Amino acid sequence: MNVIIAYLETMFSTYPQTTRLLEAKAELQGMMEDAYTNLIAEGHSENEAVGQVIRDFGNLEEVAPVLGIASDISAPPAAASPSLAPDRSHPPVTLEEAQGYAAAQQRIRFRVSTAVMLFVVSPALLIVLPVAAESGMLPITDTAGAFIGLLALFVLVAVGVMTLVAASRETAPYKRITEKRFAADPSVTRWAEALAGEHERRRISALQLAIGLWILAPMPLIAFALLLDGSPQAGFWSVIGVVLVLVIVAAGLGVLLPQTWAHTVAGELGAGTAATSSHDEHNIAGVIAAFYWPLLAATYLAWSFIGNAWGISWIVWPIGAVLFGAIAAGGGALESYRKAQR
Amino acid sequence: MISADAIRGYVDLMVLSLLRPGPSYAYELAQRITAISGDEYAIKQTTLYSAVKRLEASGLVSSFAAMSPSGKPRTYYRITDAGLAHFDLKVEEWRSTKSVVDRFVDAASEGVTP
Repeated sequence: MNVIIAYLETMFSTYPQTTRLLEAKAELQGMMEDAYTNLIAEGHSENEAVGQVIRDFGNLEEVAPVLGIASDISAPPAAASPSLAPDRSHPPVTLEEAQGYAAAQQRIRFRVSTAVMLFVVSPALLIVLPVAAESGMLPITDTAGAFIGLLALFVLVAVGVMTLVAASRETAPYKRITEKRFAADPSVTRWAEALAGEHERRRISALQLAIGLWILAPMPLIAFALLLDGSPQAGFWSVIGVVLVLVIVAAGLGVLLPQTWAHTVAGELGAGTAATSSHDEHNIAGVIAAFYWPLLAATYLAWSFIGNAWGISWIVWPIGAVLFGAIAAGGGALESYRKAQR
Repeated sequence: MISADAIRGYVDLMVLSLLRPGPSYAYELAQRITAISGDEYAIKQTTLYSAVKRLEASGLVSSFAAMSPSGKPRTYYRITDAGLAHFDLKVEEWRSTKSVVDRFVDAASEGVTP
Protein backbone atom coordinates (compact mmCIF):
# COMPACT_ATOMS: atom_id res chain seq x y z
CA MET A 1 0.00 0.00 0.00
CA ASN A 2 2.90 2.36 0.78
CA VAL A 3 4.16 1.92 -2.76
CA ILE A 4 0.77 3.01 -4.10
CA ILE A 5 0.65 6.12 -1.94
CA ALA A 6 4.25 6.96 -2.85
CA TYR A 7 3.42 6.40 -6.51
CA LEU A 8 0.53 8.84 -6.31
CA GLU A 9 2.71 11.33 -4.42
CA THR A 10 5.37 11.27 -7.13
CA MET A 11 2.73 11.56 -9.87
CA PHE A 12 1.33 14.70 -8.25
CA SER A 13 4.54 16.09 -6.81
CA THR A 14 5.51 18.27 -9.79
CA TYR A 15 2.21 20.13 -9.86
CA PRO A 16 0.98 23.05 -7.77
CA GLN A 17 -0.91 21.83 -4.71
CA THR A 18 -4.20 23.59 -5.39
CA THR A 19 -7.37 22.64 -3.53
CA ARG A 20 -8.80 20.95 -6.59
CA LEU A 21 -5.62 19.00 -7.14
CA LEU A 22 -5.48 17.84 -3.53
CA GLU A 23 -9.13 16.83 -3.79
CA ALA A 24 -8.39 14.82 -6.91
CA LYS A 25 -5.41 13.19 -5.21
CA ALA A 26 -7.49 12.24 -2.16
CA GLU A 27 -10.27 10.75 -4.26
CA LEU A 28 -7.90 8.87 -6.55
CA GLN A 29 -6.07 7.57 -3.49
CA GLY A 30 -9.41 6.40 -2.08
CA MET A 31 -10.11 4.54 -5.32
CA MET A 32 -6.68 2.95 -5.28
CA GLU A 33 -7.03 1.91 -1.64
CA ASP A 34 -10.41 0.32 -2.36
CA ALA A 35 -9.01 -1.49 -5.39
CA TYR A 36 -5.99 -2.69 -3.40
CA THR A 37 -8.08 -3.92 -0.45
CA ASN A 38 -10.36 -5.72 -2.86
CA LEU A 39 -7.51 -7.44 -4.69
CA ILE A 40 -5.93 -8.56 -1.41
CA ALA A 41 -9.32 -9.89 -0.26
CA GLU A 42 -9.52 -11.84 -3.53
CA GLY A 43 -6.31 -13.58 -2.54
CA HIS A 44 -3.80 -11.71 -4.71
CA SER A 45 -0.31 -11.21 -3.36
CA GLU A 46 0.74 -7.72 -2.29
CA ASN A 47 2.98 -7.44 -5.36
CA GLU A 48 0.21 -8.44 -7.74
CA ALA A 49 -2.26 -6.09 -6.10
CA VAL A 50 0.12 -3.11 -6.31
CA GLY A 51 0.87 -3.90 -9.95
CA GLN A 52 -2.79 -4.20 -10.85
CA VAL A 53 -3.74 -0.97 -9.09
CA ILE A 54 -0.96 0.99 -10.81
CA ARG A 55 -1.85 -0.54 -14.18
CA ASP A 56 -5.47 0.51 -13.70
CA PHE A 57 -4.53 4.00 -12.59
CA GLY A 58 -4.33 5.48 -16.07
CA ASN A 59 -2.80 8.77 -17.00
CA LEU A 60 -2.82 11.96 -14.98
CA GLU A 61 -2.89 14.08 -18.16
CA GLU A 62 -6.38 12.77 -18.73
CA VAL A 63 -7.59 14.41 -15.52
CA ALA A 64 -5.88 17.70 -16.29
CA PRO A 65 -8.65 19.38 -18.34
CA VAL A 66 -11.28 18.87 -15.62
CA LEU A 67 -8.93 20.24 -12.99
CA GLY A 68 -8.07 23.26 -15.09
CA ILE A 69 -4.37 22.51 -14.85
CA ALA A 70 -3.78 21.28 -18.39
CA SER A 71 -0.82 23.54 -19.01
CA ASP A 72 0.72 22.71 -15.63
CA ILE A 73 0.37 19.00 -16.14
CA SER A 74 1.67 18.57 -19.63
CA ALA A 75 4.64 20.92 -19.41
CA PRO A 76 6.78 19.87 -16.43
CA PRO A 77 7.30 16.14 -17.05
CA ALA A 78 8.46 16.78 -20.60
CA ALA A 79 10.79 19.58 -19.57
CA ALA A 80 12.08 18.12 -16.33
CA SER A 81 13.02 14.70 -17.61
CA PRO A 82 14.08 14.64 -21.23
CA SER A 83 15.61 11.20 -20.61
CA LEU A 84 12.09 9.83 -20.21
CA ALA A 85 11.12 10.69 -23.76
CA PRO A 86 10.08 7.43 -25.35
CA ASP A 87 12.75 5.94 -27.54
CA ARG A 88 11.19 4.24 -30.53
CA SER A 89 14.14 1.94 -31.15
CA HIS A 90 13.07 -0.38 -28.31
CA PRO A 91 9.62 -1.21 -26.99
CA PRO A 92 8.88 0.42 -23.63
CA VAL A 93 9.35 -1.58 -20.48
CA THR A 94 6.09 -2.89 -19.03
CA LEU A 95 5.08 -2.85 -15.40
CA GLU A 96 4.97 -6.67 -15.34
CA GLU A 97 8.56 -6.85 -16.51
CA ALA A 98 9.63 -4.19 -14.04
CA GLN A 99 7.92 -5.98 -11.16
CA GLY A 100 9.32 -9.34 -12.17
CA TYR A 101 12.78 -7.88 -12.42
CA ALA A 102 12.49 -6.13 -9.05
CA ALA A 103 11.22 -9.34 -7.44
CA ALA A 104 14.11 -11.31 -8.97
CA GLN A 105 16.64 -8.75 -7.70
CA GLN A 106 15.08 -8.95 -4.26
CA ARG A 107 15.22 -12.76 -4.30
CA ILE A 108 18.88 -12.95 -5.27
CA ARG A 109 20.18 -10.07 -3.16
CA PHE A 110 21.65 -12.28 -0.40
CA ARG A 111 23.19 -14.69 -2.90
CA VAL A 112 24.91 -11.87 -4.77
CA SER A 113 26.21 -10.25 -1.60
CA THR A 114 27.43 -13.63 -0.29
CA ALA A 115 29.35 -14.18 -3.52
CA VAL A 116 30.98 -10.75 -3.30
CA MET A 117 31.90 -11.41 0.35
CA LEU A 118 33.45 -14.74 -0.64
CA PHE A 119 35.58 -13.02 -3.29
CA VAL A 120 36.82 -10.46 -0.79
CA VAL A 121 37.76 -12.96 1.94
CA SER A 122 39.06 -15.60 -0.48
CA PRO A 123 42.77 -14.74 -0.01
CA ALA A 124 42.51 -14.84 3.82
CA LEU A 125 43.97 -18.32 4.36
CA LEU A 126 46.60 -17.79 1.70
CA ILE A 127 47.76 -14.74 3.63
CA VAL A 128 47.67 -16.35 7.09
CA LEU A 129 48.79 -19.95 6.68
CA PRO A 130 52.29 -19.51 5.26
CA VAL A 131 53.15 -16.94 7.91
CA ALA A 132 51.62 -19.04 10.70
CA ALA A 133 53.54 -22.08 9.48
CA GLU A 134 56.77 -20.18 9.24
CA SER A 135 56.47 -18.85 12.77
CA GLY A 136 55.92 -22.42 14.03
CA MET A 137 52.34 -21.88 15.16
CA LEU A 138 51.07 -24.63 12.91
CA PRO A 139 52.68 -28.05 12.47
CA ILE A 140 52.95 -27.66 8.68
CA THR A 141 55.58 -26.34 6.32
CA ASP A 142 55.03 -22.93 4.85
CA THR A 143 54.76 -24.49 1.38
CA ALA A 144 51.94 -26.71 2.62
CA GLY A 145 50.35 -23.63 4.17
CA ALA A 146 50.57 -21.76 0.89
CA PHE A 147 49.07 -24.74 -0.92
CA ILE A 148 46.14 -25.03 1.49
CA GLY A 149 45.62 -21.28 1.31
CA LEU A 150 45.65 -21.32 -2.46
CA LEU A 151 43.24 -24.25 -2.47
CA ALA A 152 40.89 -22.34 -0.15
CA LEU A 153 41.13 -19.29 -2.41
CA PHE A 154 40.14 -21.29 -5.48
CA VAL A 155 37.32 -23.06 -3.64
CA LEU A 156 35.87 -19.79 -2.31
CA VAL A 157 36.11 -18.08 -5.69
CA ALA A 158 34.55 -21.12 -7.38
CA VAL A 159 31.68 -21.17 -4.87
CA GLY A 160 31.20 -17.43 -5.39
CA VAL A 161 31.15 -17.73 -9.16
CA MET A 162 28.72 -20.65 -9.04
CA THR A 163 26.45 -18.65 -6.72
CA LEU A 164 26.50 -15.70 -9.12
CA VAL A 165 25.82 -17.88 -12.14
CA ALA A 166 22.91 -19.57 -10.37
CA ALA A 167 21.55 -16.18 -9.29
CA SER A 168 21.84 -14.78 -12.81
CA ARG A 169 19.37 -17.42 -13.94
CA GLU A 170 16.71 -15.55 -11.94
CA THR A 171 17.30 -12.30 -13.80
CA ALA A 172 17.83 -13.94 -17.20
CA PRO A 173 14.21 -13.38 -18.34
CA TYR A 174 14.76 -9.65 -17.84
CA LYS A 175 17.85 -9.45 -20.01
CA ARG A 176 16.54 -6.51 -21.98
CA ILE A 177 16.36 -4.51 -18.75
CA THR A 178 19.90 -5.32 -17.64
CA GLU A 179 21.19 -4.71 -21.16
CA LYS A 180 19.20 -1.47 -21.45
CA ARG A 181 17.33 -2.53 -24.56
CA PHE A 182 14.09 -0.83 -23.54
CA ALA A 183 12.47 2.57 -23.60
CA ALA A 184 11.74 4.02 -20.19
CA ASP A 185 8.06 4.35 -19.38
CA PRO A 186 7.17 7.25 -17.09
CA SER A 187 4.64 5.31 -15.03
CA VAL A 188 7.02 2.35 -14.59
CA THR A 189 9.78 4.78 -13.64
CA ARG A 190 7.52 6.34 -11.02
CA TRP A 191 6.58 2.93 -9.68
CA ALA A 192 10.27 2.04 -9.37
CA GLU A 193 11.02 5.37 -7.69
CA ALA A 194 8.21 4.75 -5.23
CA LEU A 195 9.63 1.28 -4.53
CA ALA A 196 13.11 2.70 -4.03
CA GLY A 197 11.72 5.45 -1.82
CA GLU A 198 10.10 2.88 0.40
CA HIS A 199 13.44 1.09 0.90
CA GLU A 200 15.59 4.20 0.95
CA ARG A 201 15.82 4.58 4.71
CA ARG A 202 17.11 1.04 5.17
CA ARG A 203 19.60 1.53 2.33
CA ILE A 204 20.95 4.73 3.84
CA SER A 205 21.36 3.13 7.29
CA ALA A 206 23.14 0.19 5.68
CA LEU A 207 25.36 2.54 3.69
CA GLN A 208 26.28 4.50 6.82
CA LEU A 209 27.07 1.32 8.75
CA ALA A 210 29.08 -0.08 5.84
CA ILE A 211 31.13 3.08 5.34
CA GLY A 212 31.77 3.17 9.08
CA LEU A 213 33.03 -0.41 8.92
CA TRP A 214 35.21 0.31 5.90
CA ILE A 215 36.83 3.29 7.51
CA LEU A 216 37.45 1.35 10.72
CA ALA A 217 38.61 -1.77 8.84
CA PRO A 218 42.35 -1.12 9.25
CA MET A 219 42.08 -0.29 12.98
CA PRO A 220 43.03 -3.76 14.29
CA LEU A 221 45.97 -3.81 11.92
CA ILE A 222 47.16 -0.38 13.02
CA ALA A 223 46.74 -1.42 16.65
CA PHE A 224 48.76 -4.61 16.15
CA ALA A 225 51.46 -2.75 14.27
CA LEU A 226 51.81 -0.05 16.93
CA LEU A 227 51.45 -2.24 20.03
CA LEU A 228 53.64 -5.10 18.86
CA ASP A 229 56.28 -3.00 17.17
CA GLY A 230 59.61 -4.79 17.53
CA SER A 231 58.19 -7.99 19.01
CA PRO A 232 58.96 -11.24 17.16
CA GLN A 233 55.24 -11.83 16.72
CA ALA A 234 54.69 -8.53 14.94
CA GLY A 235 54.80 -10.05 11.45
CA PHE A 236 52.23 -12.71 12.26
CA TRP A 237 49.82 -10.27 13.88
CA SER A 238 50.16 -7.85 11.01
CA VAL A 239 49.02 -10.63 8.74
CA ILE A 240 46.08 -11.36 11.05
CA GLY A 241 45.30 -7.65 10.89
CA VAL A 242 45.29 -7.77 7.10
CA VAL A 243 42.86 -10.67 7.17
CA LEU A 244 40.67 -8.72 9.60
CA VAL A 245 40.63 -5.86 7.09
CA LEU A 246 39.28 -8.24 4.47
CA VAL A 247 36.73 -9.69 6.87
CA ILE A 248 35.47 -6.26 7.97
CA VAL A 249 35.30 -5.00 4.39
CA ALA A 250 33.33 -8.14 3.49
CA ALA A 251 31.03 -7.55 6.47
CA GLY A 252 30.38 -3.99 5.26
CA LEU A 253 29.51 -5.29 1.81
CA GLY A 254 27.30 -7.92 3.41
CA VAL A 255 25.43 -5.17 5.26
CA LEU A 256 25.11 -2.85 2.28
CA LEU A 257 24.55 -4.95 -0.83
CA PRO A 258 21.29 -6.67 0.20
CA GLN A 259 19.70 -3.25 0.79
CA THR A 260 20.53 -1.67 -2.56
CA TRP A 261 18.33 -3.74 -4.88
CA ALA A 262 15.36 -1.35 -5.00
CA HIS A 263 17.68 1.60 -5.60
CA THR A 264 19.48 -0.24 -8.38
CA VAL A 265 16.21 -1.34 -9.97
CA ALA A 266 14.92 2.25 -9.93
CA GLY A 267 18.16 3.47 -11.51
CA GLU A 268 18.04 0.85 -14.24
CA LEU A 269 14.35 1.30 -15.04
CA GLY A 270 14.63 5.06 -15.10
CA ALA A 271 17.55 4.95 -17.47
CA GLY A 272 16.17 3.04 -20.44
CA THR A 273 17.91 3.35 -23.77
CA ALA A 274 18.80 6.93 -23.04
CA ALA A 275 20.93 5.44 -20.33
CA THR A 276 23.97 6.97 -18.89
CA SER A 277 26.06 4.66 -16.77
CA SER A 278 24.32 6.19 -13.79
CA HIS A 279 23.64 2.97 -11.93
CA ASP A 280 27.35 2.30 -11.68
CA GLU A 281 27.67 5.10 -9.17
CA HIS A 282 24.91 3.83 -6.95
CA ASN A 283 27.22 1.48 -5.14
CA ILE A 284 30.29 3.55 -5.78
CA ALA A 285 31.54 3.23 -2.23
CA GLY A 286 30.92 -0.52 -2.28
CA VAL A 287 32.66 -0.98 -5.59
CA ILE A 288 35.62 1.06 -4.46
CA ALA A 289 35.79 -0.83 -1.16
CA ALA A 290 35.73 -4.20 -2.90
CA PHE A 291 38.83 -3.33 -4.90
CA TYR A 292 40.43 -0.67 -2.79
CA TRP A 293 41.08 -2.55 0.45
CA PRO A 294 42.34 -5.80 -1.08
CA LEU A 295 44.62 -3.70 -3.27
CA LEU A 296 45.82 -1.80 -0.23
CA ALA A 297 46.36 -5.10 1.58
CA ALA A 298 48.43 -6.35 -1.35
CA THR A 299 50.47 -3.14 -1.34
CA TYR A 300 51.04 -3.46 2.37
CA LEU A 301 52.13 -7.10 2.18
CA ALA A 302 54.37 -6.52 -0.83
CA TRP A 303 56.09 -3.56 0.77
CA SER A 304 56.45 -5.32 4.11
CA PHE A 305 57.75 -8.63 2.76
CA ILE A 306 59.87 -7.41 -0.11
CA GLY A 307 61.24 -4.34 1.61
CA ASN A 308 61.16 -6.04 5.06
CA ALA A 309 59.61 -2.80 6.24
CA TRP A 310 57.21 -4.04 8.94
CA GLY A 311 58.21 -1.17 11.19
CA ILE A 312 56.99 1.57 8.85
CA SER A 313 54.67 -0.02 6.29
CA TRP A 314 51.61 0.25 8.59
CA ILE A 315 51.52 3.90 7.51
CA VAL A 316 49.72 2.60 4.41
CA TRP A 317 46.57 2.08 6.49
CA PRO A 318 45.90 5.47 8.05
CA ILE A 319 46.72 7.12 4.72
CA GLY A 320 44.53 4.60 2.93
CA ALA A 321 41.65 5.15 5.37
CA VAL A 322 41.70 8.93 4.95
CA LEU A 323 41.95 8.53 1.19
CA PHE A 324 39.04 6.10 1.23
CA GLY A 325 36.89 8.52 3.19
CA ALA A 326 37.66 11.21 0.62
CA ILE A 327 36.93 8.93 -2.33
CA ALA A 328 33.67 7.66 -0.83
CA ALA A 329 32.53 11.19 -0.02
CA GLY A 330 33.53 12.37 -3.50
CA GLY A 331 31.63 9.49 -5.08
CA GLY A 332 28.55 10.27 -3.02
CA ALA A 333 28.73 13.93 -3.96
CA LEU A 334 29.11 13.04 -7.63
CA GLU A 335 26.06 10.80 -7.40
CA SER A 336 23.86 13.42 -5.80
CA TYR A 337 25.10 16.00 -8.30
CA ARG A 338 24.10 13.77 -11.21
CA LYS A 339 20.76 13.15 -9.53
CA ALA A 340 20.13 16.84 -9.08
CA GLN A 341 20.83 17.38 -12.76
CA ARG A 342 18.36 14.74 -13.85
CA MET B 1 -10.10 -5.82 -25.37
CA ILE B 2 -11.65 -2.58 -26.61
CA SER B 3 -9.23 0.31 -27.01
CA ALA B 4 -9.70 3.29 -24.73
CA ASP B 5 -9.99 5.54 -27.79
CA ALA B 6 -12.92 3.62 -29.26
CA ILE B 7 -15.02 3.81 -26.14
CA ARG B 8 -14.02 7.25 -24.83
CA GLY B 9 -17.13 9.05 -26.05
CA TYR B 10 -19.39 6.61 -24.24
CA VAL B 11 -17.89 6.58 -20.75
CA ASP B 12 -20.27 9.42 -19.84
CA LEU B 13 -23.20 7.31 -20.98
CA MET B 14 -22.00 4.34 -18.91
CA VAL B 15 -21.58 6.45 -15.78
CA LEU B 16 -24.99 8.07 -16.19
CA SER B 17 -26.64 4.70 -16.74
CA LEU B 18 -25.08 3.34 -13.56
CA LEU B 19 -26.18 6.39 -11.57
CA ARG B 20 -29.79 6.18 -12.74
CA PRO B 21 -30.85 3.64 -10.08
CA GLY B 22 -29.11 5.55 -7.25
CA PRO B 23 -25.99 7.40 -6.02
CA SER B 24 -22.60 5.74 -6.08
CA TYR B 25 -18.90 6.54 -5.58
CA ALA B 26 -15.99 6.47 -8.00
CA TYR B 27 -14.48 3.10 -7.16
CA GLU B 28 -17.85 1.34 -7.21
CA LEU B 29 -18.59 2.87 -10.61
CA ALA B 30 -15.24 1.72 -11.98
CA GLN B 31 -15.76 -1.75 -10.62
CA ARG B 32 -19.25 -2.05 -12.07
CA ILE B 33 -18.14 -0.79 -15.48
CA THR B 34 -15.37 -3.39 -15.52
CA ALA B 35 -17.75 -6.11 -14.26
CA ILE B 36 -20.45 -5.34 -16.83
CA SER B 37 -17.89 -5.12 -19.66
CA GLY B 38 -16.54 -8.54 -18.78
CA ASP B 39 -12.96 -8.73 -19.96
CA GLU B 40 -13.67 -6.50 -22.95
CA TYR B 41 -12.93 -3.18 -21.27
CA ALA B 42 -11.16 -2.31 -18.03
CA ILE B 43 -11.65 1.38 -17.28
CA LYS B 44 -8.67 3.36 -15.97
CA GLN B 45 -9.25 5.25 -12.75
CA THR B 46 -8.20 8.55 -14.27
CA THR B 47 -10.65 8.00 -17.15
CA LEU B 48 -13.50 7.43 -14.75
CA TYR B 49 -12.49 10.23 -12.44
CA SER B 50 -12.28 12.78 -15.26
CA ALA B 51 -15.63 11.59 -16.67
CA VAL B 52 -17.34 12.04 -13.31
CA LYS B 53 -15.77 15.47 -12.78
CA ARG B 54 -16.70 16.52 -16.31
CA LEU B 55 -20.31 15.46 -15.72
CA GLU B 56 -20.31 17.32 -12.43
CA ALA B 57 -18.98 20.47 -14.09
CA SER B 58 -21.75 20.30 -16.70
CA GLY B 59 -24.37 19.87 -13.96
CA LEU B 60 -25.33 16.37 -15.09
CA VAL B 61 -24.37 14.82 -11.76
CA SER B 62 -23.98 16.33 -8.30
CA SER B 63 -21.68 15.18 -5.54
CA PHE B 64 -22.06 14.88 -1.78
CA ALA B 65 -19.84 13.50 0.97
CA ALA B 66 -21.08 10.46 2.86
CA MET B 67 -19.84 7.45 4.81
CA SER B 68 -19.75 4.18 2.92
CA PRO B 69 -21.18 1.06 4.65
CA SER B 70 -17.59 0.15 5.60
CA GLY B 71 -17.25 3.45 7.47
CA LYS B 72 -14.91 5.14 4.99
CA PRO B 73 -15.69 8.74 3.98
CA ARG B 74 -16.39 8.92 0.26
CA THR B 75 -17.61 11.34 -2.37
CA TYR B 76 -20.91 10.06 -3.75
CA TYR B 77 -22.33 11.11 -7.11
CA ARG B 78 -26.02 11.45 -7.91
CA ILE B 79 -27.58 11.96 -11.34
CA THR B 80 -29.47 15.24 -11.78
CA ASP B 81 -32.62 15.86 -13.87
CA ALA B 82 -30.41 17.39 -16.53
CA GLY B 83 -28.31 14.23 -16.35
CA LEU B 84 -31.37 12.02 -16.90
CA ALA B 85 -32.32 14.08 -19.95
CA HIS B 86 -28.73 13.96 -21.24
CA PHE B 87 -28.67 10.20 -20.79
CA ASP B 88 -31.77 9.78 -23.02
CA LEU B 89 -30.11 12.02 -25.58
CA LYS B 90 -26.86 10.02 -25.50
CA VAL B 91 -28.76 6.73 -25.83
CA GLU B 92 -30.55 8.09 -28.88
CA GLU B 93 -27.22 9.27 -30.30
CA TRP B 94 -25.65 5.85 -29.70
CA ARG B 95 -28.51 4.04 -31.43
CA SER B 96 -28.16 6.17 -34.56
CA THR B 97 -24.34 5.97 -34.46
CA LYS B 98 -24.54 2.21 -34.16
CA SER B 99 -27.04 1.88 -36.99
CA VAL B 100 -24.98 4.06 -39.32
CA VAL B 101 -21.74 2.19 -38.58
CA ASP B 102 -23.58 -1.13 -38.90
CA ARG B 103 -24.70 -0.23 -42.41
CA PHE B 104 -21.05 0.03 -43.48
CA VAL B 105 -20.00 -3.11 -41.63
CA ASP B 106 -22.91 -5.11 -43.10
CA ALA B 107 -22.29 -3.83 -46.60
CA ALA B 108 -18.61 -4.78 -46.32
CA SER B 109 -19.30 -8.29 -45.02
CA GLU B 110 -21.96 -8.86 -47.72
CA GLY B 111 -19.44 -7.76 -50.30
CA VAL B 112 -16.92 -10.35 -49.08
CA THR B 113 -19.42 -13.24 -48.96
CA PRO B 114 -21.99 -12.67 -51.72
